[in-house]
Amino acid sequence: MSPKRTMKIQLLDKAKKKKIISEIEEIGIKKIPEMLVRTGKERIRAFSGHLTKEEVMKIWRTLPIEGIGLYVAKEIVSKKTGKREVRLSVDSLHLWEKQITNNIIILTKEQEELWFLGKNIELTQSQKQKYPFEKCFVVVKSHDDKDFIGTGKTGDKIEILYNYLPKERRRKTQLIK
Amino acid sequence: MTETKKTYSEHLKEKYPPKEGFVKRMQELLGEKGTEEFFEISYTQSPSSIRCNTIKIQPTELKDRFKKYGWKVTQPFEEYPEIMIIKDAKPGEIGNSREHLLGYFYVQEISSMLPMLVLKPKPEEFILDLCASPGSKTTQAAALMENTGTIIANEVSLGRVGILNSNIERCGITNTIVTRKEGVALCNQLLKKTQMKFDKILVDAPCSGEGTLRKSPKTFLMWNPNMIKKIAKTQRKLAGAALKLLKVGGEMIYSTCTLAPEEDEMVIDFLIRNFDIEIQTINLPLKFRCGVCEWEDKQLSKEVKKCLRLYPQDNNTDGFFVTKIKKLSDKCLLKEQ
Repeated sequence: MSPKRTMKIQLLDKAKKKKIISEIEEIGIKKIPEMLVRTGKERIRAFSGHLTKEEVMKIWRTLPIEGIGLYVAKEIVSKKTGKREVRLSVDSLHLWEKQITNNIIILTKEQEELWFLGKNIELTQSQKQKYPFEKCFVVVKSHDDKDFIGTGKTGDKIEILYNYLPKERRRKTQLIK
Repeated sequence: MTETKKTYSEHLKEKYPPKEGFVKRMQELLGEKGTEEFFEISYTQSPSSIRCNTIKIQPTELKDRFKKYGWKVTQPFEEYPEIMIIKDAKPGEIGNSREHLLGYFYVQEISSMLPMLVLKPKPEEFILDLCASPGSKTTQAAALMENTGTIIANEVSLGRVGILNSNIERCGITNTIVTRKEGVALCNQLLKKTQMKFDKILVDAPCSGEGTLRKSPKTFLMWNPNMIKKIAKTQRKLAGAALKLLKVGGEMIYSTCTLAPEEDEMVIDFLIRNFDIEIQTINLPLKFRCGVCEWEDKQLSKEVKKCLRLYPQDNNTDGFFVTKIKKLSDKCLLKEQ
């Protein structure tokens, strides 16, 4: 028995981990060295601690756990298609940045400002040609091609980039220039 | 500039005058001149210091990025290039920068960085941060451990757990388990049910906050001697319970952001009397003062001289207290709490 009100955790086995990797392979991620943990119904977290699965579960049974490792992805079922999708968090992009090679959209300086305000982005004509990613999750990079700044999703006609930057990482006012 | 500064200080002095009892205690600790210096600086703003999050970016690159914003950046300690002081940033500009949103740095007062610089967590170690929120020290430890080993970061308050989790996420920390439990109960339960023991422990105890007057001048109004006595009791319990969870040969830091001896040296004196421990000498590139061995007619162990007191006027920081403890054996004279 775990303490009351503790976070529900499930340590994913090799097969389940492989399934998650297969969902994000498209952007280049092929290996996840961390232990993957499902918390709640859809959140996936990466834990790099030295504790074994048994030791983690021992702690879980003893103390009310409020977080483990880093929130890296959300596993969701699309309402429209019924397809299972994995949406990466902004911090997972930093964690696995060396592996990310595909489905990257670089924003302009103006678009980046809007991105950090949590707005959806209207892609330019040249971006539409350069990034032909239809109806899929994409990795968003800053205007200077230096930083991964979040994940978004393109629509049917690749006109709008939907913004998934979480509220706590947005700003109410414009960023410095 | 001087005029604006003066006005800011004068405004604070009027709004938040120090209580007589507080002034008297500081005079006992610092003498007339020292007390004057202490209160003078307590009504000014601290410099903007940050810690580069080496999990995500290296100090050289971060410094270059800051310079592009037109900020003046200094690295006050050669051996700790991750610590930077920023000048010429407009209000709100630092926290609003892309690098901050992405977790490339943590806005942290220099004094609050000291416990982890003294504890020196290493990769693969098992660490307990007993009173962890908002997470400045947990994230600092994780960076020093290169996201390996494991940190148990505990916080009793639900609201503060949210802040802790949010900072851990922003800094990309993967080696931490966050728990929410009253500190003493957490230690007792871990000991009883898991027999797990830690290589290193940080007890950055909740305190009366006499050292943080520069950022929260309201503390001047809230200060009262009864509160100090009450908090000191909790601190003794927390530190004692934590020591039981430390491996023999392991190290524990006891720190507070207050200067009241009841919450500092007297807690250490209590530990010395009840546990088989050694107080270790600390070397840091800052101006420090020794711990006080005598307070209100009470003689404390001479060992508490090795504790470090950091007064705000000595290094233009906040006030702080740090002690490094080494556990020599499991011997304990305390009854079960």
